[in-house]
Amino acid sequence: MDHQAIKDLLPLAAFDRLEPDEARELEEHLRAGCDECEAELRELREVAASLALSLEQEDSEAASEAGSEGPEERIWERLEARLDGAVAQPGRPAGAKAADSARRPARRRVGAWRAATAVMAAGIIGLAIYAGQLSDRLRRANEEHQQQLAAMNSRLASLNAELERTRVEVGTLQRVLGDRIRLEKVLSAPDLRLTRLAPLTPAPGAHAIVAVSATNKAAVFQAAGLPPTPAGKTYELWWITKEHGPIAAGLFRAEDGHPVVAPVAPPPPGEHVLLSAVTLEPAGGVSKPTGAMYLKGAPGPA
Amino acid sequence: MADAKQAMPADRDLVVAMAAGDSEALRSLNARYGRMLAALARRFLSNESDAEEVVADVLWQAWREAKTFDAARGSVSVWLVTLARSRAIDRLRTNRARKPPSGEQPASEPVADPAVDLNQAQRASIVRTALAGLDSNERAALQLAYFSDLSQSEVAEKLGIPLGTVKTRMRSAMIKLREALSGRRE
Repeated sequence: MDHQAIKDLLPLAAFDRLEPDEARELEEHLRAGCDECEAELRELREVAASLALSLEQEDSEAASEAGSEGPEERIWERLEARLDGAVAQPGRPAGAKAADSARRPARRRVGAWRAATAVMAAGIIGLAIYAGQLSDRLRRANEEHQQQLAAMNSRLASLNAELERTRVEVGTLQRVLGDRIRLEKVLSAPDLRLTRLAPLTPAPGAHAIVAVSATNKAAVFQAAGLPPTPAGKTYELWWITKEHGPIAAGLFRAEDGHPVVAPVAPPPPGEHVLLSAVTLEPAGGVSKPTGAMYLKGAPGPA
Repeated sequence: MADAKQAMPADRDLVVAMAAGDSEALRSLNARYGRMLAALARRFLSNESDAEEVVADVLWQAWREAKTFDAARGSVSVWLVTLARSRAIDRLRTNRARKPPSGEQPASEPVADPAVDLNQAQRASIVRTALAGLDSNERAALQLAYFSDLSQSEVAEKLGIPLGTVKTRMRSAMIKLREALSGRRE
């Protein structure tokens, strides 16, 4: 990808909305030391972040109407609780409150010593033994709870991961099922029209068929033998019409050894389709064909 | 977004004070950005408590990482907004994994507090004016992409337009917004 193409990606990169292959290309470009793109990306991130500012005014306007307390107070309560709890943990900056908390145990020790002079020695020893036992029990219970918590957290994480995998799987199956239903609907339409696409030089073993039903306003593309889609590319189907030349009909990917079934856009009403063709284009597709043609064919009789 | 504020410590100064252990600086940063970050988080999370927890996480991270903050890589506000958006999306995905999706549309019920820093309000007003100046299709693509966890393809599907058009609209909207914002700052 050249410098200009990378620059075109920057507004989307500022949103963290690049596709994985685009993000990789940008990362490599920046790592190679393009200061111009780095500065522009920084500026665009500022612009993207400013979108959040537009929300604040909505908040404030409604705040004056509602008259309730703002979220800052509740957020600060949460932060104060963390500041208090952070004192015993190294590597964190400690605030004034935390420093106060740190001094508390020392004051308690002095108080305990003064009190000890006023009670009987046996009582002190007994209390100390009891306190020691209690402390040990509490420490053991705490350790057990920590272990249980860690085990439960780990189990929860694996269940969440499993759920996510299942969700993805169900999504894929739903998509495949939807494609099959659409295919069946088109194939059973009384006005079914088929276009057979023959292979061209880049894919001599490929063949495809497009089924169109004007009444259902639907079209389905099925292909086999296409080479797997290269990284950063996509296959694109075209209607080549008498009136407007090539019109994009849809994008699809091919995987090794798997036939492709993809819903595509039917030709616009009133267009006279001369040919249908498949080309290889940059990921995301283009509005007019630029890449090599893999398949081509004229529509069959209605 | 500029850090400087009249008669108030700059954001960067607050971060430096936080790095030195000054919890009052953290409190000031929360007073300055807490509400805006909570509003942003609520765009992704329907539960207000979740949104506030996300903001507390973000400010806590800023407190812990204040020493390593590098102003050359961007302003404090961008740092906080980026963290908040990213954490809100993470929380949204975790919540989704825990329960079935309920056709959620990120909620934006506002919360009240009359005390708004004038400087911040002026900046918000500039952004809203700039947004209002965008073509409505561009604005829709931009806001859907920013205030949701949808990919480019999912945005295209939701708006019923081709992926290439989504890219073009978002690119054009960002460039116009940048021009509008830089024009108003001068």
